Amino acid sequence: MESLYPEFDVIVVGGGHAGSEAAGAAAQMGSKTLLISMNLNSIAQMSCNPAMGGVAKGQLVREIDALGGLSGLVTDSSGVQFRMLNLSKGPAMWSPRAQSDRMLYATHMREQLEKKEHLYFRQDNVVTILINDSKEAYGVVTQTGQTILSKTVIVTSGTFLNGLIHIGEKNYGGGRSGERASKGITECLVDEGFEFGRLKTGTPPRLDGRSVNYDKLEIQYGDEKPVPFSFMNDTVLEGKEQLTCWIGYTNQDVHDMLKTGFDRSPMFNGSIKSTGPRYCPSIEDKINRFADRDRHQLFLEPEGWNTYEMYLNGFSTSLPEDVQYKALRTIPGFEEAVMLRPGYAIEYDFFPPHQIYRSMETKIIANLFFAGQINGTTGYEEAACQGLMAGINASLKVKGDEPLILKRSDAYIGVLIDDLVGKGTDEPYRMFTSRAEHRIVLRQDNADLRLTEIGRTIGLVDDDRYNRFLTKKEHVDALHSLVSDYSVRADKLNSYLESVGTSPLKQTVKLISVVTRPQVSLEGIIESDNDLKESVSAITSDPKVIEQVEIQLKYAGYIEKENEMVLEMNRQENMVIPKKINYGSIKSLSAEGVSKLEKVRPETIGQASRISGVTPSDVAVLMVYLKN
Amino acid sequence: MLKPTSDIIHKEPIAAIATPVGEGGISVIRVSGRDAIANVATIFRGKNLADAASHTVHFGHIIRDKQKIDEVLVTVFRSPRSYTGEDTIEISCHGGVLVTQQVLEAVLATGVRSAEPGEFTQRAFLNGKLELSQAEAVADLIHARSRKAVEAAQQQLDGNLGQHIRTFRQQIIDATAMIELELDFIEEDVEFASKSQLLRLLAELNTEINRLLATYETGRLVKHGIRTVFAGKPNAGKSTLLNALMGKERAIVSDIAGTTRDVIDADWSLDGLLFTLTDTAGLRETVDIIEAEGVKRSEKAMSEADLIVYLVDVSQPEDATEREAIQALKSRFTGKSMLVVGNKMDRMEGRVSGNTSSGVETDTSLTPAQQEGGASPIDLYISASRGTGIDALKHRMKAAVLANRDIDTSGLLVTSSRHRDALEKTQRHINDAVRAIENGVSGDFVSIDLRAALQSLGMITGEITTEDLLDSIFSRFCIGK
Repeated sequence: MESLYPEFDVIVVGGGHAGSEAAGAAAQMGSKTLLISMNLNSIAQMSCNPAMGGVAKGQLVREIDALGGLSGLVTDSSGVQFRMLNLSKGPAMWSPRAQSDRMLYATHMREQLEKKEHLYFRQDNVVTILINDSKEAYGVVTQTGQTILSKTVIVTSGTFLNGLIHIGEKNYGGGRSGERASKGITECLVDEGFEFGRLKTGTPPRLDGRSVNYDKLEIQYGDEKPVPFSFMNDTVLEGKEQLTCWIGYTNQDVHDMLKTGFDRSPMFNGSIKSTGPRYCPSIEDKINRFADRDRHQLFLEPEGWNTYEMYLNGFSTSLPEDVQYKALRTIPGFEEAVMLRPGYAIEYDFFPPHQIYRSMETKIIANLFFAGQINGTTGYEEAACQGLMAGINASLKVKGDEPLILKRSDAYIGVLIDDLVGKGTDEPYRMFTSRAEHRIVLRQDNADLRLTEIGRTIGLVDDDRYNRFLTKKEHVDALHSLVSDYSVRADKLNSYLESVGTSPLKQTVKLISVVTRPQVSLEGIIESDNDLKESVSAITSDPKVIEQVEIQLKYAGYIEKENEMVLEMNRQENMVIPKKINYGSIKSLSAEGVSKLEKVRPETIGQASRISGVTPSDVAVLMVYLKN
Repeated sequence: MLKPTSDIIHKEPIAAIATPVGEGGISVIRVSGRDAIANVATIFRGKNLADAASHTVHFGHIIRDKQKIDEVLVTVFRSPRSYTGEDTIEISCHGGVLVTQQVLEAVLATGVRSAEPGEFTQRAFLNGKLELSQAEAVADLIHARSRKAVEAAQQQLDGNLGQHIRTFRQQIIDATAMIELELDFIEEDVEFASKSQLLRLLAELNTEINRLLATYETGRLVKHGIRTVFAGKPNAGKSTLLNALMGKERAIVSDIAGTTRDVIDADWSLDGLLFTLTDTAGLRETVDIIEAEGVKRSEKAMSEADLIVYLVDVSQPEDATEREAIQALKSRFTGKSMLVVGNKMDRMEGRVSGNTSSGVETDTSLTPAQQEGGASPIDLYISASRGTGIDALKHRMKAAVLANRDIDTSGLLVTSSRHRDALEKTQRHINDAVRAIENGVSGDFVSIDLRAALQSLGMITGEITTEDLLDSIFSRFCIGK
């Protein structure tokens, strides 16, 4: 086929959160990359609420940043409010969250991408993925009839594959409010033998902020000391005052009003057949499932610095627009509310993720990678980290290098991908900290210590970031060894100890034995001992370094225990199962075990052991088989 | 990875006949494991095997109860140069089925366990001694055994116990979910568990697990039977009584004292309770070597018994030493149920029966007065040969065992030691969680203990998955703004 274009190393289909990270990573790693989006003005569009991070998701963004991705940087520069959630819990639970300026986020992401030397853009719609007889992807064909060749193709289609938007009894094809759906890719992949499914998600109405009576709502401020997402930033907002969010509640009258539209609800009348996420239900679903609750919380989020558009989180709905409108105006504080866009539900195609390897490459077609909602996930952060990994691994593949696989003990990203590939999903998959068995060591504060070195090795972490990381690491190590050997004297420390309500010392003791007390902070100790303070300031004045060392000391017992379990687990993670294994020929495997193993085709014994239906004896049999 | 070849694991010794069953010229009995050589040395008359070098063959005899069983050749293999990698001995004996069996039994009597099918191969595999072709066999084996275990466990779990364990599991999942809820959904408009609510739930759980654990001893009796040992002087009529109870000729009976030279076992069911009856050689000082060995084993049987039925021959004049002996047994085996039964009441001369009752007695335990030397130690009188008083004895046996035990055979019982261990572990983790909550530790750390508790319970029920936790959260709380 004749092509107007040179061959690329990587083509990224789709410019959402997955596509942006994929394109950015591949280009940064030196691969000649083309990003094709149906609309280049909506790169990294926040189609749902204008916020990044949160519990578990904030950890994902920190990991993306630590590896050299873009989401953290863009969140910092486009944020309008920053909060660190869960500070009353252990450090593993601390989770950054930011409200973003939706338009700025898109603009800044595009700016970040445009800085990448090897990255090219094209506004177009991919209708076919070119696949040769050896089952390898080698390019795409677009709606405008262009054939563009590439060594690898990454599909990040979001909700666009055969997207179908529902509002009440109306439904129409579309990938997002105001944008058309993408057709052709699913059909082309199904022809190649892929299995596909349908998922559903939804959004609430957007409002005119000037029409809301804020006196009837609770206000929520950002943190006094906003913490940046990116390890590259010490501060955010440059002194700008943060925007506020607002909390309101539905009541029984609202619920009654909503119920008048249930017979015309696509959720209840059978038009929507696919599964939505249980943790992000529509308001009609909440009323239906939790009938005993007489109110539900709503969260009103600003869409940006320079717009009065507001996002009514918690009111996601696909009820007819007239019902949405009447119910909205029944909510205290929203009596006069003006709706800019109605809420809607959207159904879209996804490819059950047992069909990809942990490198994000598909098992059926070589050089073809999937990332984001196409793999059954939900959330910007979940999409972004998959995109990053797909971009990394496409680039590594082009170079002929081994893929980068993060283990469950390395990162939340590793947990997410391993869950997807090994367990599949039948509802949109969202990250929770409870999914990570090693969450004590997978903290947002140490994401750089866990991952930046890896990012450097693959060529994603630039010199700036790497030098910054090396300095921090060096300081952390120096401070750690200083305080580990340091002894504190009772006369210096006791007034501090009493001030925080813990018992005074009777004699000189090791600092580490005091810092483990819950009420005591390392900073508090340093401040009450001038000699120590001097030695510390010779090393660093960075509060992040002090915090890091404090966490390492305070939770050393838990962390060590966890690290032992990680070692134990990684023995199985390191036992690789050959790709060509024929499970049917191992006659001692249970029938269910064979069928599950054939379906998932796990890459390691560890992964096999996490597949439901694969028994411990199946795992033992496999180990015996592999031993030889 | 798996064990490197150099890293040999020495497990408990096992033995089995290694050659096909049949009338071959010779049979080989293989013994492998820790102290395998030392164990066989105790029944081998010939060279001292403890000093024998690896890969040497020795001629000698296998001895049991001081009698030669067979003329054999013994080959010594020292670790790691053996099939299994462990210390191994192969005994080549004459090929008859009976002789081979006797040699094996002699080996087992030294404390060696009978090997399960394929166990040698499995050990060889674990110690890195196997080739490809054999590994498949091991795989089959693992599967066959685990399937059996799963079936057995399933049967048990289908009953009341399973119901209970599943309830526990759900309770722990719910408790963990309450904690996880607060961790992952801090921003949601849901009520988080209060400390006291959690502690109450865990305390209730603890009580329940305790109640279940308390049934273990009873459960064991129901499942494995009540080990009942008949003891008494030679010719007190123990074998006759055994036959009377069983209603068939089980033991060899004669008038010659010491007819029973070894321990004889029989299973017998009474009102749904399984008794494992053990007839023993009479307790007396003996010059007969074989019988002496039997006496030794009688002692051992008694020490392992749940119930001792001591028979006194009341046709004989009262014997002060016997009374002392009974007293000694009682103080030695305090805590065991013991019945002293006067036999041959039909031929009782010169003795006064304190109790000729054949009726129903409700008193189930021995009173302190009965244990004092002054009163007659005899609990009831029977005539085993005529069948007099047998029903009363049955009743007393049952009552003696059930005393202080809340046996409800239709109810809830923990019978497997594996289940008991899992429950105890679960309980330990729950206690850790309780302590953590009381100390005000953050939920993410409490969750570690509760997940460990689930994992322990998982040894009975199967693994916990995160999906269960999330299901619990999503089904109970309205999540999602």
